[in-house]
Amino acid sequence: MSTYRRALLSGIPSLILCVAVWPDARADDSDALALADKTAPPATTSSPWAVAAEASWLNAYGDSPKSGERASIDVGYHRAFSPAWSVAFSDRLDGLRDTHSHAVNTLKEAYVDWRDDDAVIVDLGRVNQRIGVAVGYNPTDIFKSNAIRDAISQNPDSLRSDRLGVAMLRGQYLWRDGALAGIVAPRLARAPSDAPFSADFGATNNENRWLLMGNEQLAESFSPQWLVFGTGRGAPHAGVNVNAGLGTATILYLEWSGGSERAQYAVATGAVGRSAFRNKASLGMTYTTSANISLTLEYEFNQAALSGPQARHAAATDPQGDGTYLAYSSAQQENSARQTYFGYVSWDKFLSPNADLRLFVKYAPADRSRMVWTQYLYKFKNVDVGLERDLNHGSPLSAYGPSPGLPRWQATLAWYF
Amino acid sequence: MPCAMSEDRRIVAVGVRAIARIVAFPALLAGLFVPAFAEPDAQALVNAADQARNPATPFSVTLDLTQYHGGKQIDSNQLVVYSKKAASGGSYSSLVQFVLPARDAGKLILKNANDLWVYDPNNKASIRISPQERLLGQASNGDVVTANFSADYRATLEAQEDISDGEKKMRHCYRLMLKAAVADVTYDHMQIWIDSTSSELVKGAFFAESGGLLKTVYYRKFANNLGVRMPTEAVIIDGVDPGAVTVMDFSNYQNKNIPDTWFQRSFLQNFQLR
Repeated sequence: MSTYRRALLSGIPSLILCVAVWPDARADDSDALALADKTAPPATTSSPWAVAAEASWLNAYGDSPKSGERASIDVGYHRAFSPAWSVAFSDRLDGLRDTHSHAVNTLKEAYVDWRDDDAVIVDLGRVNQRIGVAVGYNPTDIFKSNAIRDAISQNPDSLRSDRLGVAMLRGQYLWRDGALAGIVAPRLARAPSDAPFSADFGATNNENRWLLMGNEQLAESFSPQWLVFGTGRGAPHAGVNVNAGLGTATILYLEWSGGSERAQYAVATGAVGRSAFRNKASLGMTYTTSANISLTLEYEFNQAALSGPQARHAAATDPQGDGTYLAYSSAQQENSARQTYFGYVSWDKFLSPNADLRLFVKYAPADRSRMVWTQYLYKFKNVDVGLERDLNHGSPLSAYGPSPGLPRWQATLAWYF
Repeated sequence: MPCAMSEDRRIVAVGVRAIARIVAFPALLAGLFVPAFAEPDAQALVNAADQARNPATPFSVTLDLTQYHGGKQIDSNQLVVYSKKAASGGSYSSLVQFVLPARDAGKLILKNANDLWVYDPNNKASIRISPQERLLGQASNGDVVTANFSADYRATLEAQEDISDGEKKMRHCYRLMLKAAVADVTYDHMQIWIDSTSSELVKGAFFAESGGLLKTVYYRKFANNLGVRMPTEAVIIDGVDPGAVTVMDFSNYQNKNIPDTWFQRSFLQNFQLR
């Protein structure tokens, strides 16, 4: 057989395969193209307003069952009046009714922004400055403490969204591959307020704080963020946020802070305690499958928190103090266990093109307590219907033991305008 | 075989061919020094198709995505994409702003080189995501940002053939195989069809590393924008479930003065409407 004929014959299977796989304008493709012919995109629109309203029904079904309702409205406004000047405002009002009725207003942001060619930016007012690359625990996010007026969910996203900003002066200088930022947050009040419509600067600005942070691209896809922060008393703390891609499906991250401070228990209870250098860190990875299911696994370490034996000793000898410690840790959004494991699953299009499933577990190995949060969300065009379950499981005074109002179901209707 | 076109489209095509020849001039110049019967340089074809598709100056464009499943519309998004060619040349940096639906308004996707970040104005989180994570249904993040295939893929010419394009007209095209030349790009390899006369990208088939077909994309409704004749619609058909279709419409192209600072994650919290 000639070389030419051999080549011709050997090419026939490939040719048949190509025709089979790539027939032009396949029937399926024709259907898709016909759909596209009928598509009429909406008119271009944008608004400085972002408004959402929610109605929730809660049912706590544990040892102290109760049910209630919540109505909420969330208003955001962000508008530039010129290339240099803009304003931002964000507020959430929750009205709750269970054993009694009450309202809680959360003034999340209200600040003025001045900038020069998006390279020098100065903000003055209440700003929700969030820091950190980790998902479950952010040791570098120093402005998270006391920022929650009314926790409507244990979901980390919700805790970051519905929190008070901090009154601050923030200056930033940005260049092509990096940025430098400085923040000064002064003391404005002594203690948090329970008044429903209080701006509550006593929660967010009860001590002087400062922060410097910067990032510079050191190599392709590698731009760590460095931080130094303090309160004006004691030695400053340092921190770093770094992440890296591994292949096309995995992101690795590390968030660390360290500095000299008293143990969390001593600060919470007012007990005597010496300052020592303590590390806090989150090390994790997020893997996304080809079906767009994202799985995050995170190891969290808080050297300022009680170790397992210390926690058992505190629970046995000073239950009241231990309760104070757990409440303080929750308010500060600090882990109360020295070591914690966190897992988060986000499954888009769960059983339906319009439905999402989210689930996370926080587990403290020292006392084997865990927090489990599950949410099923069905999305219509401008309305979300959600069903959420919050559950703690552990012995009393464990890291994720019994908590008021838990376990509970929460059904939510949310409208976006 | 030449494309069947109406007379006015043919006139426009003449202009486009002239532009394509200008942008492909280095490749053509190289062609002078090879035998007349040689195949065209595959990489030069991809480069010419990139240049015939992407404006050279920084720009913004409104992007409407309409998603269908089983013939029914299931979702839609409106985005504004800000793109600028990196100073080092080659790839584009893009900042994608969500406009609709209202629940996502203000969210941002940043693509700088092959790094992807997503920013949520509600929780102020700037989170790095992997290329595999999709935020827009069947459309990958790589589909909505400005892509320069010649910078990220190495091309070989597979064949010349006549195909039916997205508007069911016959075109004579080069069929090219592109394989990833850099790490962490959206697709492992792809087949693309480039019109042999206009250098227009007509169709693409995008594959996973396993060889499985991820999606087929038809580029259509070519029109002049910012001095370039480009597709104003892409029809994305899922490779596994052909009933999953996303239509991407591009409109409102504008030249834009975009500072370099926009394309780093520290800027995301500072983005504002103008």
